[in-house]
Amino acid sequence: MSPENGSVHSGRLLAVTILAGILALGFGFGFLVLPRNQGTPGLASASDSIYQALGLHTHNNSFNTVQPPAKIPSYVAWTEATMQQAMGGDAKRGESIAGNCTGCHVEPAHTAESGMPRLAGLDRLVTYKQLDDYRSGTRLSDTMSAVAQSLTPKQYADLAAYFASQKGLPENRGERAPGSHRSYHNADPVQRLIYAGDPKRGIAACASCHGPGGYLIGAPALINQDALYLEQQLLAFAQGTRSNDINMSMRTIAGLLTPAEMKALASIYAKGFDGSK
Amino acid sequence: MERSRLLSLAHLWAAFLCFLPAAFLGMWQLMMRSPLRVPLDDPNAYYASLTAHGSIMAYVFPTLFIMGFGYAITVSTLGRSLRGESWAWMGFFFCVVGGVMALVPIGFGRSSVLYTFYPPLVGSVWYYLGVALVIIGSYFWVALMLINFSAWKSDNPGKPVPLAMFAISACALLWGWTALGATCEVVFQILPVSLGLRHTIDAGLARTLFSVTLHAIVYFWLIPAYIAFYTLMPQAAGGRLYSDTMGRITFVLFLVFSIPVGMHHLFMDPEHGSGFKFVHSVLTFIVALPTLLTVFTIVASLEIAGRVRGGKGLLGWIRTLPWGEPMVLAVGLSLLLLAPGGFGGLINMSYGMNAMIHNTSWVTAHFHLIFGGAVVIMYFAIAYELWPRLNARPLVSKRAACLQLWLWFWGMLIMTLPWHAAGLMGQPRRYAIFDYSDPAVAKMASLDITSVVGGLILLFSVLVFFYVLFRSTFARPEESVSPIRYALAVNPSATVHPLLNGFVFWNVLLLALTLISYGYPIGQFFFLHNQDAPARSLSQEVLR
Amino acid sequence: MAEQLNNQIASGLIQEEIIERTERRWLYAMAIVLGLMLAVIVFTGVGQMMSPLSDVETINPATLHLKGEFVESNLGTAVEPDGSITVRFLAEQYTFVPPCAVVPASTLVRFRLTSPDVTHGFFVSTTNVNAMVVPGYITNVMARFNRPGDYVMPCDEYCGFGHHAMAARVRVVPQGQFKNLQPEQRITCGAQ
Repeated sequence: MSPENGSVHSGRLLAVTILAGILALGFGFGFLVLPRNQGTPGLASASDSIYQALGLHTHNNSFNTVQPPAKIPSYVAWTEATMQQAMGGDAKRGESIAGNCTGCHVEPAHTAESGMPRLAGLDRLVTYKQLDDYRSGTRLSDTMSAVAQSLTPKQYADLAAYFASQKGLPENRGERAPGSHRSYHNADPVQRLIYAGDPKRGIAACASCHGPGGYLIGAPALINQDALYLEQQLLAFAQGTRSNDINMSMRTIAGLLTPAEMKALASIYAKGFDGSK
Repeated sequence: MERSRLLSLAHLWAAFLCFLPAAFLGMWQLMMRSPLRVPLDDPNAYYASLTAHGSIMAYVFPTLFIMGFGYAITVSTLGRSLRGESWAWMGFFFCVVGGVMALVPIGFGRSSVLYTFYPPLVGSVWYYLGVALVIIGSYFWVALMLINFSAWKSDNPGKPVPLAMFAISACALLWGWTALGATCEVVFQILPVSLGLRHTIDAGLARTLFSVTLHAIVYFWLIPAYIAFYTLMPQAAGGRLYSDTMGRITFVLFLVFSIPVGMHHLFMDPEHGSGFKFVHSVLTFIVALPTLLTVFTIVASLEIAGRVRGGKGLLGWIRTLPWGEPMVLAVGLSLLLLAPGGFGGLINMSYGMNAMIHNTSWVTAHFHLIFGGAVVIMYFAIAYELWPRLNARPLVSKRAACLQLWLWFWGMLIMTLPWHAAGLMGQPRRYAIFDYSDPAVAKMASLDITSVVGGLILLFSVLVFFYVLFRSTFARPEESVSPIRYALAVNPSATVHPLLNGFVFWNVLLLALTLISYGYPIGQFFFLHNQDAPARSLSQEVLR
Repeated sequence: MAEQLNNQIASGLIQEEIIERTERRWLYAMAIVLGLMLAVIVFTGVGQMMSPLSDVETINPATLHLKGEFVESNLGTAVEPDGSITVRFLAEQYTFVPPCAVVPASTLVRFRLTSPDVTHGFFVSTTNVNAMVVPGYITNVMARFNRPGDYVMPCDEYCGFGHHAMAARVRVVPQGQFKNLQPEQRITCGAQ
């Protein structure tokens, strides 16, 4: 072996030896020593220790198997299959079913502050889910329950497509141009709540889910919605009489609002805002 | 040589021209998160700005700068024209187009996912395509560095590759390997979702793939600064490089150990066990070594220059150094910023201490100090070295350049030190708004305002920087500018150990190490069940 | 000027052996320093609270409300058979559920969180309970609070436009004041 090759060879050997040593140290401590010295019970053997270090050993989490009876807020889960069904309705078929709905929910029959939600322009996923919740009884209303039970989920999707295609509530695509009034320094505390939220109470900005700007699956756009309806729903969430919000998001947030705030929020959203206010 | 000059200049100009608006955005963000009032203080605007600032400062600016520096090094150290220059221009084109493509949706508020873009939060497809294009453009550069490196080696068998070229080639190789992590995440996981072809994402796998890139990218940024430490500063100071060998060892250590440490960004994540977290922790200690070695070698090199100029006594050589030389001043200031920055890094990589400051302002302060401070100050100095040679005109004023560097140094300290403190006090990061009427938050008001002052100094420094660049581009050419000269070692050698003159063996080691440290952590995701999460957009984008 | 100076320095200013020797000594010294730091980590790691989260548990994020450990009726504080405490939170856009959890002081507390939507973080201010919540995975963190009081627990990973207002509270009460719970009971702050 030539001197140069020899020094390359020994250089490589040195590098590999040092690296092997470092890895032995790392793996040895990380997989064999540390897991068994961290107070986790039941790690006697080396393989137990290795499994724990790999994250596979969850024996200490198999505790508390006594769960209270489950309360299901909604049988709708936003899986791919559900979303495809909810988004896949036919507006024309929906129009033919929607005859009975317009009497309460669509202008001109729908009157302002009637306490009925306006449906024209409503997001498809929202319409679908609420109908399904009425059907399953996770959202309570004698009238709507009967309506929902007389329809199939496919028809929910058709209705949803129809209402979404109508002009009424502005579509919430989740974007908005930046504005200085949309700030935490807005003099109006209610507008502050809408755009910036209240960090002290842990209340997120309404707009971050309900618009303007911000979007969340299943959260309806609220601009131009019926004021009385909005206020009543916020109260219902806060009191728990409405409880079909998946994972308690609205019950938690509404529970942190005061009734005066609920009324003011409902009023601002109902009027709509063009950004200059 | 003429066209290569234009090539480097184009890259550097593009880099700095996007640095400028990003700096302004950063200033606005600093003010918005402080008790002070700014116009358009809409939280949505903050998050869009944060995305733009981060994406430019992490993906577009440093990449373009390093590419331009790399081409300049290749041509000036190897003494011949760049092979594949048309390809280089194509790479540049991809980078610029990609950068613009990524920024447009951010500007429209449709991709406020931040530069770390953690899925299942998903933004506009154009943002990810733009970032992908920037990476593709940089791969042209990676290929050209290695092609030119190999071509010179085979034309000059047995001769040592000049240190600067060796180092920038190691840097290119490192980037080539590490960018694969984020690229896989974007190409295989995020793009299909943002195009509507798939609707769920394994968030744990995405974070892990991203972590492959997330740490090594900082060494991609760091190595060019160290190249200036080793090869430009001793020359500018009128001295010699203490040890060329140690320089090569340093760059090799970075190449091998930068990637298999990424999981220290996942210490607090639920998708990995403690075993591999510890292994990455150990390797992270190893990757701290080349920086410690560099500090010794560079300070020794500075000492040589100082003593040659008459410095006596234990520390007398410090005073006699030519601090009026921008390159020398920058190195001194960079080392001073590296100290607290590196110390912060040692805290971050120690699990127990990391738990105190994880995802607080400490983290943001840390990487602004070490990258924005210690590294970017060297980028300025490199620009000052290259500008006269690329424009065939002398720098308009070394005094202005030195003033700019001092402003950057003080601005960075004043901005980041209070920020570290706020993090220690529990201030979370990535917040558009703080409610300063809350007594717990009010404690940090003065800290946040001090950071604003630091930011203003930084902004002023940026303006001085552009003044120097612009004036130096259009100054009247006087006597010809001397070509760039790289430092000689104290004992330059006609030969160098073959292992320190090539990368084949180190590539093998790097790949083995990466496989060992990331193989199981990434592989496990293909055997887990039920963890795929539906993609979530902040606008209606992902719904089809 | 700098260039002229350089030409005046001949090679061989310092003998190469001296250079090599000093560099090698520095290398060993730095390796020892790093080794010591690592040893500190290893030794402090021997103690439950100072080790990284380890258990990898997956859970379907879309059906959390339908079945499993994180249905809404199972959230909040629970007592284990061995007397330790388990607190379950959901981290979602943009609230923690429950918004306030109560735990006894000086007791082993196990935090278990997951998310139905995007990555969040949770950070019990002034403590080192600080971890990521990644949808599809369950985060399991152990803690022991020695100081009673109200702790703010903000979200510390960007989760969207409402990130900055997302915070829960952890209320630590002296052990004697903590309600005795039945195994199937779950409580939040309102009940204390």
